Amino acid sequence: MNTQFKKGVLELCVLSLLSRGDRYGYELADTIGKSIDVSEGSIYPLLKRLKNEGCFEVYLKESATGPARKYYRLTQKGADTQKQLAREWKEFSNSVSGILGGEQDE
Amino acid sequence: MNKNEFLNELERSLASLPAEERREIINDFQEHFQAGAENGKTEAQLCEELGDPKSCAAQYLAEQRPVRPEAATPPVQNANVQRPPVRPAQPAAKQGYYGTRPLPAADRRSDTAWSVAFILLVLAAFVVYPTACAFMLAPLPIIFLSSMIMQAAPGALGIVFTVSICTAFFTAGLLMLVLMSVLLKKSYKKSSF
Repeated sequence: MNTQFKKGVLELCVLSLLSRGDRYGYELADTIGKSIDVSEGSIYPLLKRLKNEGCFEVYLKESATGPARKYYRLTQKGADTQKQLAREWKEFSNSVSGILGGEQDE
Repeated sequence: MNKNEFLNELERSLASLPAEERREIINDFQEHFQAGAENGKTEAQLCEELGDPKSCAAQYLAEQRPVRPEAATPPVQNANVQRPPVRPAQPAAKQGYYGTRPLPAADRRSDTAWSVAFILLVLAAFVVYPTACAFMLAPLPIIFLSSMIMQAAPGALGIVFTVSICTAFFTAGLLMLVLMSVLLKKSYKKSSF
């Protein structure tokens, strides 16, 4: 898959997962890596950029088994970005589906 | 590849980032390996899933690029500190978002300015380089004429005079050469050629 395309989708995936609750880096990477064929390493640069853009806050939380983990919490700005990207994605995938459907009809 | 190899490679590739930022990134990956191990994954498995550390580092560096003009900006101290958006605000623009991400306008502007500067400098080089060479060669005829100067101001004074003029011309020529070359190199690198 085209990397630029993947990047945009990845951002939407991260924001959408976080819109359903706070998570730490490994959870995000693992969840996304299981369903999409991406290098999980590229999630971390993305997390850093979105944090710098103010899409989420970061806090440390003790884990039962090991050292404290870095959790990500969506900010209002992050939630707004998620909504906008989700809308764009739906429009985009509808358009593509439309074209694919048209192809089948012929 | 194991955890240490991955982290070493990543850290090496991030060498151009401030130490504080580099440490933060390495910490994130250390946490990833830790959490992965708790989920029963081996280091080799985790490395495989993470992919190439070099391309990972390249992504960090690419995101660093647009803020580079204000190199004086201190590294992020607190995890909660929010820096101004690195990405230019570009709402809607469906094709733009899922397609190629355009360069920020400010970046393109400065690229153009440097390109113009480079062309001007190349033109100037046609004048500057011969002049610099002439300056550097000037001591030769001066020494040739020094016998006349010696007649006008005999003794040590004449020698000091000749030597200082020769040194001045040579240094000026050398400075011109070096300065011009440095400027050319810099503008070429900054321009979009």
